Amino acid sequence: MAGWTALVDRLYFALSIFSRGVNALGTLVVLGLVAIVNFDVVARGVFNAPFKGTFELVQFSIILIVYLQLPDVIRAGRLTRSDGFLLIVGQSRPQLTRMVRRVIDLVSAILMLLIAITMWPEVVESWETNDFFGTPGIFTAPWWPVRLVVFLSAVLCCLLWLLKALGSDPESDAPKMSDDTSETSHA
Amino acid sequence: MSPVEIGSISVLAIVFLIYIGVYIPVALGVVSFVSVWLMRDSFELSMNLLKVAVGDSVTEYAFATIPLFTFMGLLVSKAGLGKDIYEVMNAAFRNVRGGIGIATVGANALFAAVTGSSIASASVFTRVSVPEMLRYDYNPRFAVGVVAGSSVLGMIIPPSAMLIIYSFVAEQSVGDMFLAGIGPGILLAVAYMVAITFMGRFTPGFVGGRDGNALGDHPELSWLDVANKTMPLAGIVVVVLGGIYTGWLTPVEAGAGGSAVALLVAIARRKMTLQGFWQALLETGHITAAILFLITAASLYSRMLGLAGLPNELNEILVANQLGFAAIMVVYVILMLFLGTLLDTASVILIVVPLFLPIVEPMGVSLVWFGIVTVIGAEIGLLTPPLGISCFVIKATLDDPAITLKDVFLGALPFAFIMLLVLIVIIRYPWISIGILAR
Repeated sequence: MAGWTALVDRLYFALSIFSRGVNALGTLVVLGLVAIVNFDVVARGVFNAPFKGTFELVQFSIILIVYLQLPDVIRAGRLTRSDGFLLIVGQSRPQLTRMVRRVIDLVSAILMLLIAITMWPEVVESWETNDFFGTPGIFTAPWWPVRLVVFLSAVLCCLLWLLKALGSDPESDAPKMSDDTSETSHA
Repeated sequence: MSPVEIGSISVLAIVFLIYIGVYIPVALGVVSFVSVWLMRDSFELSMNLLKVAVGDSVTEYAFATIPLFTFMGLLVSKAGLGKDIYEVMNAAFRNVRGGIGIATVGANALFAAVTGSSIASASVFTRVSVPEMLRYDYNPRFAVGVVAGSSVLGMIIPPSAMLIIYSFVAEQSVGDMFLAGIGPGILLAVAYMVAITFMGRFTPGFVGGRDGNALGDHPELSWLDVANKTMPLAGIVVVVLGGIYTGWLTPVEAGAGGSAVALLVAIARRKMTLQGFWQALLETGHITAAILFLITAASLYSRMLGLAGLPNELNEILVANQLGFAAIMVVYVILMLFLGTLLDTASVILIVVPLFLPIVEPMGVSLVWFGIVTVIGAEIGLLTPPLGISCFVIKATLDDPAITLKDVFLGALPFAFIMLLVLIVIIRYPWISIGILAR
């Protein structure tokens, strides 16, 4: 049994590092978003030459930011939750709340699995039909890379939650109260 | 079971699951998924709805306001603008009893105009203003209460994450929501200031502190200092709100422009390291992902409610009992206050708005006004136990074991009450919020 848990923990560790890396990519997209919109405003306002495709690129970057960073949000235990109950009950019945945390992580993994399953046909379809978005003649980009990111992100989130649920300590990444209050996640 | 029954049970199930600590988007997503499956007896349909929610809900251009304004708020906090504006306000109100309290409210209101978060306000002002008030012998409960009470201004005065979230759920323009938040925000700030003045006069025991002139050792600021400390903030406000008001910038562009100005200010003041910059970007991404995933799950939930026909049913109950518009608003506010004690503001908005929107929409009221009412109503929960998040943040930032969480809640209570009164005024006089739109 102990060997099994150690394996789970090691896998979790490896995936954590991976999700941090993916997260860094998403962070660059945030920077790109700020840059593109400002570029467009200046180009339009000062040189009267709006940057075509800004609208599409903004939409594109939002999806990328969300799904490149969601795994790391989950890893860091920063997904919105109100854990007042868990913290209070945890003081007198730590065993019970550990169990509850495991079940919650497992249910969350199932949701991500369903999302992955439902997104896969979309990836295949947009690859085969060369589906694109944007306005032809102004700016177009293929859909499949975006759909693929969403699919892979859902798989990664699913695995992270699954390993959290099965690992030795489901709270290992739950940060302290100060940065886990659900509101931290709202701007 | 009929769809309506399943729908009602699922709303209760969501509230229960969130309460025991299930991630909020997961609670919304899983329960909605299962209830659609049960209602239509079709796993296929549930999967389809999930696909639509995940695939389509984050492709909205206006969603870019979330990362952009978050980023701007983080940069502004890092640049120390909150502390600056507080010092200016403090100099202005130094001769009044409760003056530091009034200064905190005023500074919060101005700081709120460049950040969209009550949490940022609560943590910044707990650090700069509470120690100051304790130094001048203010009552600790009053000190933390003022910070808690005024932190909610962060989410009412634009730019505000909650106004953005509502605008998505109700399909209103982000720009309109921002402009409509200005009047109510100022009204609330003024109401707090007046209340503090009254408290200083009639319940000096609760306020504490010394008489005004005892603050003589407080440095007076030269006009140059004042300009230096207020101009950057004023500049950002002009770019953001001015840009939106004149229609020269979309809210997305205003967010990007505001971020750029905030970044320049932070660099000019040598407050920005490369590492700090990366941290702010990282934080922005995390917050964006968390909020947008929440919105994705909430869109699944509102589709589920529609399928269940719950809003219609609710409407019929209200009509059958001959409840007028006023009664509906009373029910609405009470429901939000109740949920606000357990859930965070965004969840309250995402849960109640899809239920009530189909009811109030045919009544011909302004949905922008309804949004302001919603955001303020849901925000009162930030100040009330057991899960008043502003109060938790203050307690966590405080690092002073002598002030308990109970002190923070008791101190915040009068301010929660004032908020409720202001909310009633805003419900009664819609022009306070939407008057600015009739230009």
